[in-house]
Amino acid sequence: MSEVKAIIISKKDTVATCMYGAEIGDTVHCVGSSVEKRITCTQSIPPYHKIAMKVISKGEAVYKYGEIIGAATEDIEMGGWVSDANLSGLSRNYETELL
Amino acid sequence: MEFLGYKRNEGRAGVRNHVLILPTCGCSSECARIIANQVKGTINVIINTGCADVQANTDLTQRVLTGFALHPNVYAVVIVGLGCETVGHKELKEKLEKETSKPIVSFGIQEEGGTPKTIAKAVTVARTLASEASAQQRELCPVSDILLGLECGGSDATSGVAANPALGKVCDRLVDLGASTMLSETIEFIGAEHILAKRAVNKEVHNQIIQICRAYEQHLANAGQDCRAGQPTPGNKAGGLSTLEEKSLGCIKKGGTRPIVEVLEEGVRPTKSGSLIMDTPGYDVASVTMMVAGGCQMVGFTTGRGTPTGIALAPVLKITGNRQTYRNMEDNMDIDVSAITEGEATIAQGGDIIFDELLKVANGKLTKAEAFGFSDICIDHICRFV
Repeated sequence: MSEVKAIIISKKDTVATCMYGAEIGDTVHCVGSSVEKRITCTQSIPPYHKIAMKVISKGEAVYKYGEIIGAATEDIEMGGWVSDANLSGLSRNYETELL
Repeated sequence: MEFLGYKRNEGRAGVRNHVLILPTCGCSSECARIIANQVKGTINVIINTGCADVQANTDLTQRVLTGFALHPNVYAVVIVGLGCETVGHKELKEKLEKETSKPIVSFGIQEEGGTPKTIAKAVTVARTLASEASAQQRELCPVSDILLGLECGGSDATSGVAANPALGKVCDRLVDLGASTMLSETIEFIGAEHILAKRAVNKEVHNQIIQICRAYEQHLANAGQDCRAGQPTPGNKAGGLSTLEEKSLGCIKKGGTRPIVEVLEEGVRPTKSGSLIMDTPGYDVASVTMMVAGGCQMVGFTTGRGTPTGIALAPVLKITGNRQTYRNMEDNMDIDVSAITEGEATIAQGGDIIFDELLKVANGKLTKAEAFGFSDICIDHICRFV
């Protein structure tokens, strides 16, 4: 078991970006935006991919950059790998964005 | 602050002094390539359109042809036409001469009696023009003359945390010096357009930013297509970018934080200075083509996975925040800001590295894509050829 660094971009984020590949059982040390968390990796995660910093339920919005990057298409456990396999983009409502 | 550039009678100074061999259509592109191969100091582009197109496509092609010919990095133009294309060489020359005093010469392959005769004449003229161009000296020009295009291609998760924010710092510094920067790739605003819109200088620009995103999605939907089918690309996904929103939120970081003053149609020259947006596709080669047609003298190009692409008219600086990619593709990467990703440098320090290299390139240092002589272009298309 080793320790892998991950970057938190914003306080609101529910995922962090792993700087190196992480294996099951590794401690992922998530730091950034004055937040620091140690999470046990529960799935093999490739370099620069995302780790869930909390339990994310199916349909729940996922945050990175302090913004919504999509919604979970299945339940994701804390320490799990968040990727295009379990995260889907959302359609925009441009009408409400116009001034 | 100043750089050593080539002063022009009209508009911004150039950072290069090329003689452009410009085909009017696909049928004269090979002839133009052979002419350029024979004369040092000339460049050529391959034009894959220019004939058998609907009006909207013809407009885009003409915007690129005139934008390239009028480009600040171009000293003179040798137009090579065929004779039966939509806009012929004489017509294009006349159009250009109303806007510029730079030397423009044109030939038609059908009039000259085939390619060997056209090549023989054009090579002689191009050699004279290249000789004249080489005699022009670089002079001190204000940094405010710079119009920097911004592009990302082959993005991965390092792009949004290192290379893009560092390039964003460069943009803020340039805009503060009176220069202009151009953010593009409308598809890669989607999911982050609300953040860009907040930077708009007024309500009109705010709504234009939202509307170009809506229009792009609608345009594809009208053809029964979904922009999310091709975006993120398979390479983006393998690099840790899972959704279009995630890609966009990282993408817009390279535009900096200054007020957005103008939203331009693709390939159109700006009327304002400062932080600009151009409505281009997310396909990097097409986006760079359209920004250069709009007058960008240089392009800051971030890449996580690594790409060699370059356009002959303007230096394209390849910037990566992925150390493995820099080491793996050093022959094609200009700037390494992976120290940010590795936690060894700040984003501001990365910005300083890019800014210093940008000035060197403005002063004449060749980018890797220029040294290899790359000339990638792609003209965006509204619909099928006819």
